[in-house]
Amino acid sequence: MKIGLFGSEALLRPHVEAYKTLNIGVTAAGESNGGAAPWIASALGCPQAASLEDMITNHSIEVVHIAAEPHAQAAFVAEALQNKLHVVCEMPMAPTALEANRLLRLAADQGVKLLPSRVTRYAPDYAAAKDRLDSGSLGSPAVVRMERVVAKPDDPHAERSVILEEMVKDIDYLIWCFGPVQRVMGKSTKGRVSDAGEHALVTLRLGNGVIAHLEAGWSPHNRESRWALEISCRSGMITHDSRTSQGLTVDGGDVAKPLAGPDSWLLVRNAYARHLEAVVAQLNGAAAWDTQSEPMVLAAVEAVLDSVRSGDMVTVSGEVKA
Amino acid sequence: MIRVGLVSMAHMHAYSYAKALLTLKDRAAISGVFDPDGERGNKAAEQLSVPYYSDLQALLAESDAVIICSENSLHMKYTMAAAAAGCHVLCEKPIATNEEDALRMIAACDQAGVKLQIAFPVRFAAPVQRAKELLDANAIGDILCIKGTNHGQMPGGWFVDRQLSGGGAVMDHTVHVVDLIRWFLQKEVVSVYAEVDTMLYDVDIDDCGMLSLELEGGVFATQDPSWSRPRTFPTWGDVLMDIVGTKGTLRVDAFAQGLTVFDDDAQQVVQHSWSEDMDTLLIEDFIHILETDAAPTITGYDGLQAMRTALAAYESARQQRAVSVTK
Repeated sequence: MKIGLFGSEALLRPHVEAYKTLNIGVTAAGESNGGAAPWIASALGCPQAASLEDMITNHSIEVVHIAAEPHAQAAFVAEALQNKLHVVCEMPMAPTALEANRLLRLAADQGVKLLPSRVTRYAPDYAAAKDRLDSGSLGSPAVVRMERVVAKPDDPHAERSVILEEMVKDIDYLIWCFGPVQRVMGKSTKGRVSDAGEHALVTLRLGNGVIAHLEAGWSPHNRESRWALEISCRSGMITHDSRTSQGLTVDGGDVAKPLAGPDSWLLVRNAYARHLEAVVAQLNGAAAWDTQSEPMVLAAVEAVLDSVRSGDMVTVSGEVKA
Repeated sequence: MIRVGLVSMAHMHAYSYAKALLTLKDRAAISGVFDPDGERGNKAAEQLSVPYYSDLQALLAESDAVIICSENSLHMKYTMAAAAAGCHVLCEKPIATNEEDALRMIAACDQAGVKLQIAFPVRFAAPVQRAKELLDANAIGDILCIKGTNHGQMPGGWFVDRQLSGGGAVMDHTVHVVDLIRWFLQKEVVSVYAEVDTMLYDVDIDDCGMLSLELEGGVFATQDPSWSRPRTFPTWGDVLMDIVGTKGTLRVDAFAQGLTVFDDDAQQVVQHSWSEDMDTLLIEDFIHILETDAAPTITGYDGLQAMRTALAAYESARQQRAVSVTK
């Protein structure tokens, strides 16, 4: 299967590593900001494409793997689907549930596959927590706390949101583990005292009653990404914190800074590689992909953003619930 | 020498405060123990080698000040009695279980000219004191938001009896962090949204929740008061705050100073604290205030505002919307 890789450098980097790890060939690669991608070409040994159109027209790709910011990505996804390509795309697929539904319908109409990323579900730490939870020995879950604080993006603009781009990963995990979100109360530093970064603290009530607290940060002064998970149940608790689970640390020395985010986990096959393996298996006809969570996740994200704006609790629209 | 009476040993902190008083040999003495539960009161008095009083007035007559560690709903009754007898009061948190009681306590102590201090010992922990110094020195820039937790194990006993406690986890574990937030920022909580529920234990009272607080000046905070620490947790719980500023993030963990002990006999990993005892520091402060006739470090109003936030959280959960907090 001929795969093209297309998106923004920051979001593409971990995927490029995953293709390398799994030794999966890429037919062409390009950056969504219009520039060529010599770094991808040299990393994967593939030709560069000047645009998505160039990739589609001149490189005969069958699948395009897109990793772009949500507001830009939806248009690229639509363009690829209209050209009857299978699409794998970053989470979130689009900025709204409505748009995600529209893209899923377009994929169905075109008879092609659209696989929105579910990368958090393939992170071995998060997957292990769900396995432990599902084993049932800890009893029913009650309170969940998750945090994800990473460096501020290099190219911030007003449309970007840490809730839409980072917290969304934890919302997807919550929905995967506990079902749809009922209602939310969100607060963000955006537009308040300082806009140097963004920090959001959100309470969610899940369909099964679980109370969740999510923290997401784009920190202007952050030196190291961190992520954490805590699930309190009736008969025990699961905790996980990236700061206390490092397999390797080096103090001083001549060591390149590791990748930011959960992809810095020291694993032979990290979350992105595991996710890519599942994507390839799906494209080759394996079991169905969970596409229906995407509108649910985005409806919850939109509710959080509404709550941030209104300053009060927002009930998540039932229309996009499964 | 300040004579301090112990009014009720219902709250476990009474024992810790008593121990602290014993360390202040030449400055304070325990005048006796009053407890309506004679067995509990006698036992405590015996342990402390002080007289047991079945009559509160008799203890008050022998005391300059009292430490009230009764069930929450009785704080008002005992504070009124102490104020009427001219005794200064250190009252366990929360100040009361409703606004009317708290206001009466504050007014009674004012009118009687006695001091009313609320027991928020966490303020005195050295890491917390250092955090306050750093924040006051603008070390992390302007404060943007605060993420707080005051988790605990389910305490049982009268804590899960609504008539006596006034509420469960939210009442028990909201006030410490709210007090710290108010003290750190010198800003009031403006409104609260809360999710409150009973999901962890078979009790007829809330055992978990999540508060979302809006503060004066555009700062916001969240606070998790849940009794969500399992029985196998290495310690009773936590008081933890991540404070995000424009120049940095400060994390203060009031109970981090401990050894990790792997105890085969107990079949548990336990945290063995080596920190300075914050209850002792609170008692030293209270005695110092009485010795120097200074204003209370933590006032009845501080207690009132923390309790109002907890009560607003319950109201918010009932109404499923953010509710204002009276100032």
